[in-house]
Amino acid sequence: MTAKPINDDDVLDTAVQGLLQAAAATSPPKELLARIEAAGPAGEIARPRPFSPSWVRRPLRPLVRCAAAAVLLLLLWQVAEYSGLFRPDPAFADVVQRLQKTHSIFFRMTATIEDQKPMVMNFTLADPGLMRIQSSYGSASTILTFDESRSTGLLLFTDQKKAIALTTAADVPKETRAAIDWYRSLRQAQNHSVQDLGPRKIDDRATFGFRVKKKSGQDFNVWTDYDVWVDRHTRLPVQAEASMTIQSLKAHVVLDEFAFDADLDPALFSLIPPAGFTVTAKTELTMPTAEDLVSILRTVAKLNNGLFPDNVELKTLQNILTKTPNDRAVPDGADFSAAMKMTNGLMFMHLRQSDSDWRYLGKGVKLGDASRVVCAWRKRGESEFRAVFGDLQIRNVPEASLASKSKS
Amino acid sequence: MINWPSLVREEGPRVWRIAYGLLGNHADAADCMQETFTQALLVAKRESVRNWPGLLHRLATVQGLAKLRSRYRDKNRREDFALATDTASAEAGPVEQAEMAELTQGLRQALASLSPQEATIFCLHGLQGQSYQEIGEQLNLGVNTVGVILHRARTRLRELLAAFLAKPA
Repeated sequence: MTAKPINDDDVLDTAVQGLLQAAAATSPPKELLARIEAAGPAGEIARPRPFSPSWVRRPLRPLVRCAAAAVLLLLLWQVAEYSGLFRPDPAFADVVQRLQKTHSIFFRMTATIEDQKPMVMNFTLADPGLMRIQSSYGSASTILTFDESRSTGLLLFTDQKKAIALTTAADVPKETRAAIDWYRSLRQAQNHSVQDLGPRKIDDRATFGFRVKKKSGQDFNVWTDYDVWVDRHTRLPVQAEASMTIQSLKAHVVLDEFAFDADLDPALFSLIPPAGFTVTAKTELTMPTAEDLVSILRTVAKLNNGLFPDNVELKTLQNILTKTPNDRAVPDGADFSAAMKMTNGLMFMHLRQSDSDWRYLGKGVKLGDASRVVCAWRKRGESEFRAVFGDLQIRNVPEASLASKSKS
Repeated sequence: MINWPSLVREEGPRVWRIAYGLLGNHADAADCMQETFTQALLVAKRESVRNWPGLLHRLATVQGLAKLRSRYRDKNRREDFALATDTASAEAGPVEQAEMAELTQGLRQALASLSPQEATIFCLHGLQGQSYQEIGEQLNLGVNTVGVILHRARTRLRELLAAFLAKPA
């Protein structure tokens, strides 16, 4: 091998110089130049005809490419928009934010309690705090209208043309009134625990699901745990469903047929009874108290031959309470107040079961037996139980003596 | 408007040097030059040529590189190296002339191994002294792209030359 330059750069530069030097030392043969001259046109080289396809094609090429790319992008966007395939999954915060911008909602709620016939209710809710619930079950059909800002409402029994005027006691917190207000619950759900359920087609609509779970300490609202499916495009609910257990009764609730911000007739929320309706009673809705509990226990024990029931599950109480002879389709004022008191009694039990150490010890206890405890509850941090005795008196009882007072 | 005979007389020597530099012998350089002008005429029939010298230099480079690749693809014609009758500087001694001839052979072989685009850009810049801008305009490439491809070509050429020179004589 011959001597080599010092490094790779030198080698390349030297080689290039070698090529240039070799070429510089030569010139084209004259006969070759003459041959090339002769092969070409004698004089001027003619320009290509203007506007010929090839003349036009070159400068237009980048424009054509841009136009083709734009058309392709447009098509892709259309496909993505239609199918929702490339649209990012909606975030739950977006849904809450979108709902907060709406002013009214309509939806249908279908509730199926165990194997009973489903109950259908149509909800119309509008800001500020207006609610109308139209429901029918069997032959009975009712419309409940409520104005939260005025704490007043109207319950219409449409088939009987009768009405009951409602007011809410001042001590009833707004959260309680919103117990069935799913709309408000969802609009305030930004701090709830949320799990993505992924995409799903509902009636040919591309939706995305969330499992929403309310954090503990917010127990007034029955909407504590539910799945909601939102439209991928509008981010608004299309369907929601929840399974809940209330006093051992299993219920499944489906919400659908949603409509938002529709033009609503103010007459829908009127608290003046329509022409032809008679107001039969005025009732105040109050917070559930221990007195309501005592009231329902008394009623149940009386109907159960002077004995408190074996348990206070809704099914058991329902069996006993339906023994009441009641052939009137629409309750009058007194009956309605009694019904509200019973509902409050049930609500009191439900609340104590969830926020306290609740015990039912009434099996076999006779109405009037002052020595035995029927039920007792102790809130967290309290040392003694509040106990309802067989004589329906409420007294404080230490945990140690609770056991002895539950035996005959 | 361009006058063909004067174009051939003015640009012919430059086209010849490009062809000869790449191919290293008269016969191949003459073929390459003739094809270059023929191709240029065909281009002129299709479109309006704004830069005739640029077109001729590019076509000469592309034609020369194509011939070079064809030469080195055919292993049976390795002996054709002998056809490269480079003439080194008259001031160089016989040993230096032999070394230079060997080095230029190595560079031609290395150029034949590059991709057509890399080889063309290297020749337009390294042998003809065209700027990145001029090369980019001719090949429809951005200036940065030209720079990147040129860097890649130089790196590859250095490797190939080193390998070529390391081979036993």
